[in-house]
Amino acid sequence: MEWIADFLVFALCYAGLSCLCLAMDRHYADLHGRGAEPPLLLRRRLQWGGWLALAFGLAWAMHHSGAGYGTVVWVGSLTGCGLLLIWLLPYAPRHAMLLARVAGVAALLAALVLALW
Amino acid sequence: MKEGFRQSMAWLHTWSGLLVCWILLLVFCAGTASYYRAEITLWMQPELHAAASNTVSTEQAAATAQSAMQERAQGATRWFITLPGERNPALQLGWSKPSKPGEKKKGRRGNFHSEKADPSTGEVLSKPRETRGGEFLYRLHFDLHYMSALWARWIVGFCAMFMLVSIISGIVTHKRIFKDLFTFRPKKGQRSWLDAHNVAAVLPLPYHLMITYTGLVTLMFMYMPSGVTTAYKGDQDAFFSEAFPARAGEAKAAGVAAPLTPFAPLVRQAEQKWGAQVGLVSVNLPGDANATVTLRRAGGRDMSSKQPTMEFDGVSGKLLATYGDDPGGASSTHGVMVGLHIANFASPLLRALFFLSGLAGCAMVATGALLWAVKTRQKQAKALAAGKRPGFGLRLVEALNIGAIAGIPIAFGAYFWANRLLPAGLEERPKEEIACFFGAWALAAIVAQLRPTRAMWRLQLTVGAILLAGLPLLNVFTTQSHLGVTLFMGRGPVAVAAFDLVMLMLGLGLAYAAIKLKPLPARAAKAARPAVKADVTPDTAAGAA
Repeated sequence: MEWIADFLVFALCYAGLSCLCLAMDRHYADLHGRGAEPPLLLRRRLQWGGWLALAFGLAWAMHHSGAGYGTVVWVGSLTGCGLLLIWLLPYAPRHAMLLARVAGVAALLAALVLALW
Repeated sequence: MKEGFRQSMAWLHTWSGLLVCWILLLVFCAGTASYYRAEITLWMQPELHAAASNTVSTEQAAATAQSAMQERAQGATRWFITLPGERNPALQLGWSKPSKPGEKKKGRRGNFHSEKADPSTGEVLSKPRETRGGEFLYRLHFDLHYMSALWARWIVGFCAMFMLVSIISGIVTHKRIFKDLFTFRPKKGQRSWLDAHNVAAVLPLPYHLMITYTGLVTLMFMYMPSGVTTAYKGDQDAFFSEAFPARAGEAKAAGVAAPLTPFAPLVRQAEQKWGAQVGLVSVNLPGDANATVTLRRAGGRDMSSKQPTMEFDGVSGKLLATYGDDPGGASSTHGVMVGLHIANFASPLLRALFFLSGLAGCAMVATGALLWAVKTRQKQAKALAAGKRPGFGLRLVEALNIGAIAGIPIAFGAYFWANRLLPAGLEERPKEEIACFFGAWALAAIVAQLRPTRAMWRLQLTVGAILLAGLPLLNVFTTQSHLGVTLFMGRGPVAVAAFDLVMLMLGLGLAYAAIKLKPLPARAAKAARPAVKADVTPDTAAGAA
């Protein structure tokens, strides 16, 4: 079970960062062609979703492994996921965003498993 | 201030960073490696790999250790027993004997004997080759080498202070810290280097700030002694015995022999109280009527570096005192800061994240140093295009960059190769291994000073790549625990397999950088150099660890 708990923090961090990233003009344009801007509603949703995912990640990490240790795990995951995302973006932007969707779904599944356990 | 605030901060960032970056790179690389100090030491003693996978309870291990010590440590006044934990599978037995009257003192550890034993039988493990292993890298990152530790710590502290200044001025200078958070644009020359530097610095920023600050905190009693000196009226020892109690009692020997109480019940009692494993058993005056046994909790997941201890009467087994159960605010703050720096509390996953952030730190320092060279070369582009030679400063920095960024992986590689290739029974073997580390590095640095060219980058990166990526192959010929056994047959310690794989990956990163630096067509070579040099990805720097 331990690894599912850690994985949930990871998945939430990656999904959250990707949402925040996609809500930015430059990175939205990377994916949808030059000059494309996300529609206002979509941008709001991405921003809300992104921050919520990060906040849930932090809350879960702190709940699962204590406030201090959990915060360190969360900051570390944030760094790791951020580096992965930035590395993927210029070379394989579509895969980066596909991975974000997979991470989002996986996070839901992991949360479900952990809740039912 | 003649210029704006931001410009002066940019100036500060550039020069505070450049001045100390080469030492910082060494400190970062060695420090990052130190997260796996136990694993590196294990890798460097292949004789112990076979015994590394058995597990026994701490209680049983303590009992085994006690009978082994009673047999072998006759006449010792102090015993130190490190019980096996998740990262050190063997029992570590140590004891010190009083120096005989008239005998010349053999230094601090002169009469100290230490050995590794099997935790289930107590037998000494087949004598492994002598090496300082990961301990050397750990010491290197604050004691340097070939100089007094005191001077070294002042130098490293000075560099760390500059680093802190550099980080903070860097944050002020970086105008688009959030807008450019996810931005990395490869293949754009100087732009890419700046992006890479920003990415390596900003994402792990909490880590960089933490590691630099807490690094200074670990040695703060040396850097800033005035507070302690004032409060304790110059009596440093009084402060230390109050701040770090339970350095097993300084009781006088009674001179009456008495049997030692069995350890196992004491260990059980302590583990029940703490809800965590015992890590260290130390005994003062074993076999004497005034003997005491002190147990210290193993690190576990607790973030503080300070662990509670329990002191028992060594004959009756009665609990005498407990220390550190509820430390004061300042003491726990200090403990957590030091704990965060050394990260002994980290689970394997968190340890990997610390390691990754450390690599990012190496990349930050390396890209910063490269950025200075790329920018300065751009400034001198006209003169260079006209066939002039680069200025003295530029030449010096470029040569130092090669010597540090490409040279440090060579030094690490040489150290590990020496561990496998030097004959096992060699006199002063640890010293020779370390000489290989510095010999290889000195050679790389000197050759780089003689010809700081693009070809030199290629050459040194290639050598580093071959040395690091070649380690798993070298293992096949020199040990019984190479990847073929550890990975494909699933036998042997995971740590050894992981070490091989990480080295392979770092080596491939260096190889990738070397390939990216393909030679320029002769005619365009001079003009295009800065731009193409920038084609090296940040992998170069990450590989430098």
